[in-house]
Amino acid sequence: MDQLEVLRRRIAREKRARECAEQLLELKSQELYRANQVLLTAKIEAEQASIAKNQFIANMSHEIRTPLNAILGMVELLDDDNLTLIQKKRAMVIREAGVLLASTIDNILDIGRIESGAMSVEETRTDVRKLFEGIVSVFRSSAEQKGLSFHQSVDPALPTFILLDVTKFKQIATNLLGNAVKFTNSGHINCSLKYSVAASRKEIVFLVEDTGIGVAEDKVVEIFEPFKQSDNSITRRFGGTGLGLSIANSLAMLLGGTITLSSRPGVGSTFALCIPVTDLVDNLSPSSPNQMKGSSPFIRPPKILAIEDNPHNQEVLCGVLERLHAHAVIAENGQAGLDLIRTNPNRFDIILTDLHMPQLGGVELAKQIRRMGLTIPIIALTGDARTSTRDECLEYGMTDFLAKPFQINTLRNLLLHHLHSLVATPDCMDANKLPY
Amino acid sequence: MKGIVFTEFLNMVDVCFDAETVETIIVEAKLPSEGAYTSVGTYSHHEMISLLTCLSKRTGQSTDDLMRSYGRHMFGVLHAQIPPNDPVRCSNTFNLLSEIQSNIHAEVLKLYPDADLPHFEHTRLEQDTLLLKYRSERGMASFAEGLIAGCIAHFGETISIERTDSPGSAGREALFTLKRIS
Repeated sequence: MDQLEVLRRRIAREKRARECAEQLLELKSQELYRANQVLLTAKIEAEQASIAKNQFIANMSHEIRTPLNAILGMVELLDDDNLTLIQKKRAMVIREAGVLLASTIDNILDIGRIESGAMSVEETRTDVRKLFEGIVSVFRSSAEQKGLSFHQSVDPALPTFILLDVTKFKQIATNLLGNAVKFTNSGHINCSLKYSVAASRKEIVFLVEDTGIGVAEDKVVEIFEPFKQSDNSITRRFGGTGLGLSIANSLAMLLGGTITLSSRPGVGSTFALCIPVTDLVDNLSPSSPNQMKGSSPFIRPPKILAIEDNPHNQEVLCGVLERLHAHAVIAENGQAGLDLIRTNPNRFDIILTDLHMPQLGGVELAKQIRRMGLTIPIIALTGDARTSTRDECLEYGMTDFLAKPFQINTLRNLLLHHLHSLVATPDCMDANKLPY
Repeated sequence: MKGIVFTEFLNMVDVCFDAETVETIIVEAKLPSEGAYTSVGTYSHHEMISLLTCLSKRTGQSTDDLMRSYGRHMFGVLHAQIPPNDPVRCSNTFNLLSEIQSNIHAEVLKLYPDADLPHFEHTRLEQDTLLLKYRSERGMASFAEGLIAGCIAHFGETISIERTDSPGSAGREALFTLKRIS
C-alpha cells in the first residue's frame, strides 16, 4: 500500500467517521430535546402542585381561622361577664388552647412565606420597654404557675423608642420564652433586654436563660432547622411542630440579626437574640392600648358597617363593637353591604369586611366602593392571612388589613387610627402611631 | 465499547508503528464499522479483538503484550479526562485505583448510561498492599494490567504488580496484587 493510498483511505475513513458523528450528534440533540420537554412538563406540574399546595394551606388556614376567631372572640367577650372563678379558669383554658392553635397555623404559613422569600420587614416606632413588659408578663405567670422563679430586667441605657418590626420581634421573643417555660421543670428563667452600642452599630439583645433540659452540643445547629427537635422523644414528651425555632432564626436573619445558643444538657440554655436597631429621640407618650372599659374614646359612637357571612363571627363582631362603644350594622355578604352603602353613601364612618363571602367578596366590594368615588376607610377582616392577600386588599383600595383571629384591643387601635377625627383625646394618638 | 477506546488505539498504532499499519489492520480485520470510529460512538468489542489479532500478526508481538502497551498509553488519555478539581487526579496509585469502581465508573455511567464497563474490586490489605480484582466478559485483563502500570508510571511510584488469572478465565478474571516497594 503506497503512501497515497494510505492517505486516501484515511481521508475516506475520517469522512465516514465525521458523518457518523454528525448522525450521532443529531440523534443526541433529539434525545436532549425530548428530555427537556419531559423536564419542562415535570417543572410545570411541580409548580402547579406547589401553587395548589399553597392554595390548600391558605384555604385550610382560612377555614381554621374563621371558627377560631369566633371561639377566641367569644372567650374574650366572656372575660368581662360576671363569671365565677372556675368559669374564668375554664374560659382561660379555651383561650390558651385557641391561641396555641392560632400560633401553630401562623407557623405553618410563615414557613411557606420564608421559603418563598415573600416576607418583608415592617419597622415602626416602638416603645420597647412596654413591648418587653407585654411579652414577658404572659410568660412570667406561666413560669410561676410551674413553680419556676422568673427574673426580668431592662437595660437603663435602652432608648424609649426604637424603630422595630414589632410583629417579628414578638414572634421571636415569644418563641424563645415559650421554649424556656416549656422545657424547664425546676429552677429559674431569667429574661433581660440589653442595649449594645459598638461603633456605629446599635443592637438590642433579648436574652433568655433557663435551667431546663438543655441541648446537646451536636444538636445545637439541628434545632434551628425546620421540623427538627433535639430528639424525637422531645416531640412525644413536650409536643410541638419543630417549626418555632427555625422560624425564629429565619426571622432574626430577616431583621439583620442573629440568635445564638449556649447550652448544656441537664443544666440549661441561654438564647440570645441580637437585632440591630435605630433609636428615636422622641418624648411622645406611648399609646394606652388597654383602655377598653369605661368611657368611650370617641366623641360619638362610630357608625360601622361590619360585613361578615359567618353567623358566629357576626355575633363576635357585634359583641366586640358594642364593647368599643361603636354603633354597628351587620351585612351578611358584600352585596348586602354594597346595597346599604348605595342607599346612603355617608351613613357609615368605616367598613369592616370579610373577604371570602358569597355573592360579592370583600376585594370586589372595595373596588366598587372606590369606583363610586367614596373614600371611607375599609378594613379587611379575614382568615386569609397571606401577605399576598394583604397586598391585594391594599392594591384594590382597602385601607387596612387585620387577620383573624384578632384581639379586641388590636381592632380598637385600628379604629382609633383610622377614625382619628372622632377620637375624644387626640393626644393619645399621633400620626405615626400604628395599632400595636 | 466506547469509541474513544478505538480512536486512541488507532492513534497509538499510528504513533508506535505507522499509518500504513493502521489502514492495513483495518482492511484485514473486516470491521463492520470499517474503522470509521468516533470517540463518542459505541462499537462491538469484537472489533477491538480483531484489530489486536491483526496487529499481532503484522508486528509479531503477542496480543497480551499489545494490550499491555495500549493500557499504558490509555491511562494517560483517561487520566486527562478526570476533572481538574477531582482530588483523585492528584492522588496516588492506590487511591486512584481504589476509586475506579465507586467514583470513576459511576461518573462515566452518568455520561454514558449504556457503557458496559469492567468490574474492579479493591481490597487494601496493608498500608503497602492493594488487591485489585478485574472481571469482564471481554477478557482484557492484560489491558487492565497496562492501565495499572501506566498509573504507577504516572505517579512515579515504585510498585510491583503480580497478576494471578483465574483458571480457564482467558483474561476475563484476574487478581492483581500491588505492593509498594519503599
